Amino acid sequence: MKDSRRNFIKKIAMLGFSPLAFKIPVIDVSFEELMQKHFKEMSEEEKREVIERLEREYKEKYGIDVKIKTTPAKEGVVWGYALNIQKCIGCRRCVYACVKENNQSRGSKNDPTIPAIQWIRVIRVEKAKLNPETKAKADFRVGFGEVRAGIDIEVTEHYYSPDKVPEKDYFYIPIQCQQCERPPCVKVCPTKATWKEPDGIIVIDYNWCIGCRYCMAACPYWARHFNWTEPYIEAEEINTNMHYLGNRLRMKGVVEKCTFCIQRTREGRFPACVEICPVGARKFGNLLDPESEIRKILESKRVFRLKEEAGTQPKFFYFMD
Amino acid sequence: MVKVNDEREKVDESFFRFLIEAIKIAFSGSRRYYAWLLGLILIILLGAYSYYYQLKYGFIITGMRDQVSWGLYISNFTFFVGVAASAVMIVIPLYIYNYKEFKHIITFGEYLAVGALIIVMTNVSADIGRIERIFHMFPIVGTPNWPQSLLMWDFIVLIGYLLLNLIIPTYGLYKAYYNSQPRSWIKVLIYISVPWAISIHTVTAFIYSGLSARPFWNSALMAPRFLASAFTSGPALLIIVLLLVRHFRPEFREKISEKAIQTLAQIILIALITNLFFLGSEIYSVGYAQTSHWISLEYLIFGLEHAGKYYGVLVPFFWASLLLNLIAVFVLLYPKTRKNSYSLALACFMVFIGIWLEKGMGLVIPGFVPTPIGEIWEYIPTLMEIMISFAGWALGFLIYTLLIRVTIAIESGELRHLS
Amino acid sequence: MKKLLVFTIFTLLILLPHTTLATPEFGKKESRNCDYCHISGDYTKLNSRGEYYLKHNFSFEGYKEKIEKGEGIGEKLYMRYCQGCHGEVNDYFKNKEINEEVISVIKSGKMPPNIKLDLNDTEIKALAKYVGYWCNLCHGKMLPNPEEREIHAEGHPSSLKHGEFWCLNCHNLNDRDYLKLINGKLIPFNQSPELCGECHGQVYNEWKEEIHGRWVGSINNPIADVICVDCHNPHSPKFSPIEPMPTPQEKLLSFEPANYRNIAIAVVAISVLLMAYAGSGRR
Repeated sequence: MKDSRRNFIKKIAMLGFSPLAFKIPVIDVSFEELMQKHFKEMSEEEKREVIERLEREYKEKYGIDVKIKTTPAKEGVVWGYALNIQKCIGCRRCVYACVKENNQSRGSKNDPTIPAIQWIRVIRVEKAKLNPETKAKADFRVGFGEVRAGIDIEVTEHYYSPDKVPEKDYFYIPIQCQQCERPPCVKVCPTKATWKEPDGIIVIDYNWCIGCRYCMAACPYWARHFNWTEPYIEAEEINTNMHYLGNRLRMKGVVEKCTFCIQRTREGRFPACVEICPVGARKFGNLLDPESEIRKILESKRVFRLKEEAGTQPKFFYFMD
Repeated sequence: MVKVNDEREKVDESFFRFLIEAIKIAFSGSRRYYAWLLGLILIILLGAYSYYYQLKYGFIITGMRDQVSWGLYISNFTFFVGVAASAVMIVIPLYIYNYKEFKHIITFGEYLAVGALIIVMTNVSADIGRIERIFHMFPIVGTPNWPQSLLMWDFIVLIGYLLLNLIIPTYGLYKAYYNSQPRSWIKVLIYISVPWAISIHTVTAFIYSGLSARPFWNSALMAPRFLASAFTSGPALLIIVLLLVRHFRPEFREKISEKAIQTLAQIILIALITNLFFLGSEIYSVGYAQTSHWISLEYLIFGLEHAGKYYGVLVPFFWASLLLNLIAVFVLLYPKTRKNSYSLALACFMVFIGIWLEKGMGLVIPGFVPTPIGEIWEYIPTLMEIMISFAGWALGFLIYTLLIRVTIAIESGELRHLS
Repeated sequence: MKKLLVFTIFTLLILLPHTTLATPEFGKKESRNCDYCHISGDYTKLNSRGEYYLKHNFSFEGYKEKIEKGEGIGEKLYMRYCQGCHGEVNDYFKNKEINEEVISVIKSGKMPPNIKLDLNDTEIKALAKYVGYWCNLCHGKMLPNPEEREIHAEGHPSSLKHGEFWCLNCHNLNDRDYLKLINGKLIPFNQSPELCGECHGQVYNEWKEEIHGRWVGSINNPIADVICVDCHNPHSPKFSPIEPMPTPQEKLLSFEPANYRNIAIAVVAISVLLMAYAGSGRR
């Protein structure tokens, strides 16, 4: 009886008679959505209602049935990531696996006004090549001849597209959210819409973000991306295994970022980028478990982190064999 | 004495009546006055039409992208916070050093802060991607991240400063309207407004200087530089306004004395030289060491070359700003040109534009170029974005016009309560 | 009577497709056609996708597509377990009579050299039929020639891209079913990592610690039991370069309503004129 009444209410809401389902014109937001609480302040009942609404909205918009989870973090788990930059061949497989898994806006070949959001950026860095015959240019950042040795990400190449990778004179550094222990993005958010979960993942409540983009200015890894317009994704390309804080469909005007595939890792599966990597350069695991493979890597390898000087304490480690 | 006071209080000093009269006078004037208001309203309407598109389609209609995620809106926000803060440069001489010449220009200065804050608020609101969720920043209904987020601090100090600068001069005018003496509690607010003005621009500078991700901004000199440039641009705009008032209302030549304007001009001169000194000091310390802090400045000053392509849309902005500021220094230094109201107005205009280029375009945008992971991407605002931002300017100027219309009416005795 | 029969057949013909399409809801729900889960031509049977879907609570979550080009079971198994080292199977050997010795080699786990290989009898038979041979089938009858030379025998890797080696650095001269370590010890093929480890000691240790290699499966047990040759072709261990995926979007273009530019210019012009009028003259 109670169920049928709820269904009835739901049906009415779907027809648009309920005042809560009334959508404010222009911005196209229902009151129900606008009145929603901060995720961390919601009770279980409220969470369920919000998820029902989202599932209903996705059904209306894309005609698909999705399952949105709110799986909490496990005790005694802090996720860490390690990437072997010696092995990385810069093939960008991880970039597209991530896009596919996390329902980012896909872009379009024909329409350059449709955004293509990618959470992983692979940059190409030139290997140090000593060529003393080349005269030093007037550019005094360049030292001996034309050499710029070391991992220099001051000015880098993002749009390399050779026929085959890896190329002879280059190596590659994939950069994504480093899930900092001291995240500057969390510190600056005026509304607490982004926070660090107990398992160390920085997440965003997409319904709480006001879109001020201060976090984007604060991130030293360029890991945060903004929905400059309504994201575009074909219904059949949507990954229906969703997490509220992870890969559920986003709206325009909010920031999004890598969550180490929270919808996968909280169920004991690897992030999509780890699984896809054809050369096995990507490693992932629980930093608190002394027996975990990631700990063995951290103990046995020489690791470094990007931009240590920014004081962010990333949980994303780079290493070499 | 006590009795006199009692009699005075018997006069019904209704604030409501004052308000009605003030609004009436604010919208009455010559045909030229209406033409000015209409011109501003047209720009506001165009901006509103553009903002409707931004609401509907999102920020894609602007020139900002992930690489440069703050643009014209935040530039104008930053610049006008400085203009607003500069009202303190009239409050300090008048109330702390008792410099009487500023007595009749204080209201113009404080209302200038209100106008500037309107521009600040409109521009920063235009930069919020989800404006309908703005209440998430408020206490009780939202979850303000205070005291961690500097944006929250800025929000608080700006609202406070707006209230202070609305209450203080309005109260003065209200008392003048009824020919009575202001109560002494207003002095408390005036003294609060002094550190408050310093704080709004300091907090705004801290928004930038606290970010280790952006070496260009991450400098301890940021807040002093902000204050120096603020005390340049704000008084410059005020001088232009005061000269216009003197031009259009000759009866104000007594009240807005030559001496007051000259003092303001000297404040500009000192602040301008300090600002140039800070700029030079900033450029030297990173340019000589050639650390990672240098690259954004190099982009700003010389432009960058990468993969055979030259990037440098901001280069002309920087050099134009430097040139304008340097010329202004000499115009203001030379007494003859400083005392001539035309060359003074020109110098003030140059300072205003120069600082806008330096602090607006030249400070916010190069902080994003190259991105933290080394991509060089150039930001060029779109026409719609420019119109939205300038509609904010127009709204600020409109409100300032209405406010000084009331000020002029009351100061000149045109509007007085007849008891 | 005839009429009735025709009618019955007709009705059955109409009804028949409906009975075979037992649950078209699934197709609709997943927006897939029948062939996606069923074996084409025989829709009563499920393919591997369908099986997974059925066993995982009607969901494709976590399903990973296995690309198998081969037709028969034997060919599929060959492609999965043998082709990495042996390349395309030689037509001379293909689909021979089942050799009992080949079956015993597969059963013993010597070849294919996978640590854990759960093949049932039919699969073993299919594989044995498909490959038809193993090393000693020929080499057991041949006179060994220890002289270092280029090999042009069919079915053998013609170009060896592994250091400065030639075949007998690793393969055993006399009994080809075994590999030879530097100290002369013979090891079966399923213990080949020991041989690889002689040069690649660090990687070998990392592999034993389960930190080398591509991680698949669950976080608690990252590497499914695989050995070196499951990923690396021992005759050419370096991966060949691959095509990179497309570049990121460089410019996301902006747009504005039609005629916006003209409207904006007109409005600004009018307002500038109004302001100029306001600024001219006194009062």
